[in-house]
Amino acid sequence: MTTRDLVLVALFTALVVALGAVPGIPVAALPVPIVLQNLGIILAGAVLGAWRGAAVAALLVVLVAIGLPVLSGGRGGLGVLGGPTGGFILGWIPAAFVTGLVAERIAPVGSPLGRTFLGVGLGGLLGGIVIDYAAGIAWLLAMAPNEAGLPLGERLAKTTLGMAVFIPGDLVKIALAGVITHALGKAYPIARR
Amino acid sequence: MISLYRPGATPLHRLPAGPKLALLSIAGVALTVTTHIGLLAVAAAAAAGLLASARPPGDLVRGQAMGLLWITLVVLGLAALAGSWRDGVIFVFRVVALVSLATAVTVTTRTADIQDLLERGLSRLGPGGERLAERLGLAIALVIRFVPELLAHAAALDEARKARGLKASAPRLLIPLLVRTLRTADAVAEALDARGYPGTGGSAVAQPSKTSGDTAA
Repeated sequence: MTTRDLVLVALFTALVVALGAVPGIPVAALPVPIVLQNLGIILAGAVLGAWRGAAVAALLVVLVAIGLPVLSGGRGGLGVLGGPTGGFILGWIPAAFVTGLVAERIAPVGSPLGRTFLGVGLGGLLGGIVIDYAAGIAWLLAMAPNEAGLPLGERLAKTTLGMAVFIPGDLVKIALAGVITHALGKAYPIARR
Repeated sequence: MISLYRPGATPLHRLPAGPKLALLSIAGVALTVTTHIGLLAVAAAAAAGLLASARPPGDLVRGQAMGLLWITLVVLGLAALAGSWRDGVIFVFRVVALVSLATAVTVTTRTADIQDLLERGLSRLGPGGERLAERLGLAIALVIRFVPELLAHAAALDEARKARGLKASAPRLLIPLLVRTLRTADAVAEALDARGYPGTGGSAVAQPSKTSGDTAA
């Protein structure tokens, strides 16, 4: 890890924290403004690459754990990590990693827009939706009681359905991440790591 | 960025960070395996009382509760579909107890104390861990230093956008903000290398930056 890697990770983390504090941005297709913080996580993987992207998410988790209000809405502290939504936050680490990995395999820095969109899009879907939701829902189900003795498959399906309201917003963010990564690749290209 | 720690002199404030976190972990496991409603009700009331005695900022408690609203509704919905009111009650008591306890620890423990604990733990893992601990310290300091700057830049970008009469859009904000972030990172990395900042290491193999051909290391 070079000095540059360390500083890039730290400053990108600062950006993700800042995105938690800026007001949400309205999108025509959605009823509520989108919060930009988890877009920042996808971008961390897409722009910095798998390892440094995962490091951004891990540093963010450390900041939450030591008691800084770094999450959107001024949330933070051990209550967030230990609470029922903690898995979605911890899941950001593999999510950023996988986003970076897939983006690099499909669309190396400097690829045309369509290819970057595809690479970041698939990476974002796999990392930001499949992996992050799997981590979040697994964590939630571990914490939710099941005295009624429902089979695991049914609990999984119904919980996923309950969390599905967030998926349209996430899809918009993943599409935005593709466009932004492409524009940044032209404005200020850096190699992914 | 102001820490969620609130100074005070309660017994919880006086307890060192290590034992506090150990107790919290034990309580976390215990609360997650218990399904006894009476016990959980007592635990939730006690934890909420403990949190109240630590005087957490109102914003924090509200933010925390809002963040849990949807997921609680989902679990309650699941319990209702299964026809098991007990599941819903257990979940609510468990979450109130767990989140109150964890928040009480955050509110009564200095950020620096938890960071110290983390860095000391890493240092025990040998030379690699020690280096990681040093880098973590530097990275945390950099984040705290640059969040206000990036927020100010985001506000300036928003002003410029309004002055041009454009609608708010994520790329319009994020592309220039990202360029600023990456450019600042290159400048800071060069400055750290030039000063031979301890703990960063690997300065001799730092990648040449885009803005100037050579590093001053």
